[in-house]
Amino acid sequence: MSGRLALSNARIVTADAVEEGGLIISDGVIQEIVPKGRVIDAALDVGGDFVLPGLVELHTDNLERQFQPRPAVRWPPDAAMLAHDQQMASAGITTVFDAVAVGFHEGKEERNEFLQRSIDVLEQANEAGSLKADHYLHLRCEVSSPHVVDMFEPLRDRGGVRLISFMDHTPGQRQWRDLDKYRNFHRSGGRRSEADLDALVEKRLEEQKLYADKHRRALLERLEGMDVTLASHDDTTVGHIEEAVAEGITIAEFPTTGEAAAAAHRHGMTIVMGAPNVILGGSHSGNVSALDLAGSGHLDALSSDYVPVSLLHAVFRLVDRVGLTLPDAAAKVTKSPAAMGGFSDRGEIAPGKRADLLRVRKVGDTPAVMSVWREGERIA
Amino acid sequence: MDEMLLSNAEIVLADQTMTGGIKITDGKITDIEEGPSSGIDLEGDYLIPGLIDLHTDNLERHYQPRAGVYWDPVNAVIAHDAQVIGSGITTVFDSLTIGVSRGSDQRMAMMGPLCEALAVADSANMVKADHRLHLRCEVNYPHIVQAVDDYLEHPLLSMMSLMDHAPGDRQVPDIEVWRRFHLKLFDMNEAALDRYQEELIQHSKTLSPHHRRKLGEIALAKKLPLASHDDATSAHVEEAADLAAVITEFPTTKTAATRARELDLKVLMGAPNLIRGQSHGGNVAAGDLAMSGLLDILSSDYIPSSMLPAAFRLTEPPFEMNLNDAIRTVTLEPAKAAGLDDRGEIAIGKHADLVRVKLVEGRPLIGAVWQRGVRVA
Repeated sequence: MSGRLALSNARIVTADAVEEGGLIISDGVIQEIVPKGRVIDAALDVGGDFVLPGLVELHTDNLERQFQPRPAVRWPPDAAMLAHDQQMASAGITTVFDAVAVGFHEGKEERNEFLQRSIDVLEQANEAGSLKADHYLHLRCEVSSPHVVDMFEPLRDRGGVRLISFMDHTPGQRQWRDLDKYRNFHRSGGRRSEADLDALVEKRLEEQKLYADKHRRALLERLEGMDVTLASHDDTTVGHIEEAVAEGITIAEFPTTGEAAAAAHRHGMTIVMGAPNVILGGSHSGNVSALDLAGSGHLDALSSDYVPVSLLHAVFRLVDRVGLTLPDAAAKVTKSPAAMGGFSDRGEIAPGKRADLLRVRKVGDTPAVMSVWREGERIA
Repeated sequence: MDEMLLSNAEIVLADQTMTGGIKITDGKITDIEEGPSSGIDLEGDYLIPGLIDLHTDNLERHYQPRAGVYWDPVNAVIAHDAQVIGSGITTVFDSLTIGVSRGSDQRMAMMGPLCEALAVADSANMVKADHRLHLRCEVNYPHIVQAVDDYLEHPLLSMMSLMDHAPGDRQVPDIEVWRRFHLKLFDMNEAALDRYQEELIQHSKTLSPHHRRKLGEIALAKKLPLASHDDATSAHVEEAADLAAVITEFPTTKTAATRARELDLKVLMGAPNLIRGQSHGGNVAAGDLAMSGLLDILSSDYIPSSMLPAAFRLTEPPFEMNLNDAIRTVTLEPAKAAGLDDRGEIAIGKHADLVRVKLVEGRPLIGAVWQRGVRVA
């Protein structure tokens, strides 16, 4: 990225303060934070709006949703990729880890198809230079699935893979600790009979016994020597955390209890929770509230999960509801996830960092994204 | 006075394309000049009018991002707006369903909060696109006229459409298909479904004609453009024409579209239908209507990002429309049908609602969007 960009009359959210003043950017990199009172040549006056670092999203399922916009509708993969990218950019997300599922149970066959497509279209779009945000892959590996290792194998050396998480959606534990909730969710509006549900639960438990441990070990072996960050998913017990730590996992994604979150911090892991959980004041599956974790200091980063705009909204919600300072709240969606994803070149407004920037105006309680820049170039 | 110059663009006018620049003064286009000029260099990219979407269900999807999860309605409007404006849509008719049929009682419950949120977000300038309210009225609903009455003073109300989802007609002519769909989707046994089916058909016979007339009169009195939904027969279109409807939305057969053309109703089809090469409900393909010269307007229906690619698709085989005609299906034609004479084309005096489009490997990518001359995406 070449050229110069200057902003003035901004409230700049740095890592530890909100500074009034301006910014000078050249060649896609922040050169200087200019204090209020000094005139900057040819600057864009942002009218007192906030300027934040571009948001860093570690886990979004939004791409998969674009492939299948309605239950019976498949959308062309390249068009789906662009639609997803546009939604990320307009939500202020400049770096995104697209989560794609590796491993499936029956009824999830489309996920295998989505996986291949996701990886292909992401590569193609990157080559064509048609993406606004900076995209990476997050492989979510379902360890109790019979197919997970086979599916993972060819992906090992694909470009763009930067984050790998282990998950296990077997009923009766983790996200589905509450078996009734699992049964309700899978009842599918009455399409599954009680006997079918019994059989489903039985089969899942059987598969977990057969595969979960074996596949975790097999995947860990294949991960040796790869330059990726590892995350565990839906940790519920101290045991889950200890297992993750022993395996070299550094991120706990969506822990379901305060106990697991506290254990994660004790062991030096970082914690990601869903921003929709912050906005809705609780988890959609009845697990620990992200606001409670933020209140007890056990929250490092947020992910937009299934609502892209929730990431920015959650920042201001953390300020209003938990009493965090704006820089601390903003760090949960910028500096902290950047570091967790292995980036040192972005995630904060400071000289030398990438000029991934977000102009935000607060209207009432609601933050509106006015402009988004990636490496100094306007993308939304 | 706020002035801006855009230069070195392939400017897509209503009936020709020229290389040059335009001048924008206080949000309006004040000059169009061929050849080199000064200003922001668009590097030879296309400059087209902002898209005008007469029918999208996208807002409802943001209000309920997952089954059982309701989002704050104002935030839902903002999320929807970001998606719409990033898709190059500068004027959007948010279609909200009023009147209950099975499965849409949830949608009906969205009406109140979303209508209020739209008004709030619009008046507080939280949104970038120009949002309008499009009331989709289910005419077999017994209380529809009264229900519509509650929204007639809404500040953004700009369009009404009439629909009747009773089985055996229009969108779902095959009752068995309708039954399978409802058995699968709802917790209903055969007997309950029998009763429900009978009730809808009965209401459709006894109530719908009267409701259509009443709502048609309301639209006329309020000077609201009226659309008829899922017309399947010549008689459906004739009935719509009698009510002074100006648009037939998603006609399900070529017969209906042909009759609409004869009666001077504009034919609106979904851009997703054109992109996919088929209707998701198994009805007439938008592409077939385009081939027969019967397609006037494309709307995003349920995928905002589908509109621009669909317009460009019309320039490719087998359609091979010229670019100006193709772009008109998403700009000037919907503007005219909705009675908006201040936008929809790049012409002096019109709103500077503009989209910069670059073709990359034949695919249209949005480089920038201006609303009333202000860059918004």
